[in-house]
Amino acid sequence: MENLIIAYVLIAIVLTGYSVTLVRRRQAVERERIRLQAKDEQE
Amino acid sequence: MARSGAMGLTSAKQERAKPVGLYWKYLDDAVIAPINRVIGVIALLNIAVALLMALFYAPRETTMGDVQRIFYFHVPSAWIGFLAFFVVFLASLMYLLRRERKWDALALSAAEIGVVFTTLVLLTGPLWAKAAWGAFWVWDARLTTTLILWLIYIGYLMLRGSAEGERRARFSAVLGIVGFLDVPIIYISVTIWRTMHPTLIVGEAGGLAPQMTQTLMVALLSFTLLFAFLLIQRVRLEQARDQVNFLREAIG
Repeated sequence: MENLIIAYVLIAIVLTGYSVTLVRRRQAVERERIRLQAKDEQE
Repeated sequence: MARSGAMGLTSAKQERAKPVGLYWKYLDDAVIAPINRVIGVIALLNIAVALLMALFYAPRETTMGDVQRIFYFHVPSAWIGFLAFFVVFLASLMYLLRRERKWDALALSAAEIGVVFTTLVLLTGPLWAKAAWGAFWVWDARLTTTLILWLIYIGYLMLRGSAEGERRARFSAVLGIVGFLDVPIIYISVTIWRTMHPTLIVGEAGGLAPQMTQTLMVALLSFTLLFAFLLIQRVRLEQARDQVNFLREAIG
């Protein structure tokens, strides 16, 4: 039973971790886009 | 300041850099974002149903007991791993034929997701094996070929970090195609070699009980939906990165 719980918890951690990583990477790209557009406007 | 075209960049600057539009017209955020949100919600609900079915609906396996329930997410993880690497294979072929960045981006996205799901296979399998075989790992044909597959695509992702530009895409495409050859080997490994890994028997005497099959099907569907959701998200991320790189190049 412990192995079953460990397996399900690991699946949850890996899938949640990857999804969160994707969201964070997307947010970083969006921040960079806004920064570059602001720089372009200043010029 | 007069603005035109992609990403609101001034037209003079746009001329200095090659614009990056959408990889595919459906990948416009206004179109794909709400659709993908729906796919994500359905996938999550489906996973919740699959989890409840795995824990409470599927009968307890007589020999192995509760640890057998790992199977309901172990097999779908393997299926998604194979599906993802098949997408890498197709996208890599398309890249070599057409030399379009969108195919390279699709291959990269699918490879990353394939590695995530194959990691799940390699984590959950040993937890089942410890209870069934008394050891976390044995150098069985299926286990070994699956580990090789994982290492090939870890190598693929590392390769992408080492080379640059068109060369990187070309080398990756070749590795993406060659690496996929391991998938059919994994599939037939249980029949061509003497192996300890169980084979899936559905609808025959001595095979899975109907409730077990139904639970497995729901889990397979839920992971397939999750794969679609993650793949769309990952390709959109790559597209956004290309657009930002275009802006950076244009601004200088």
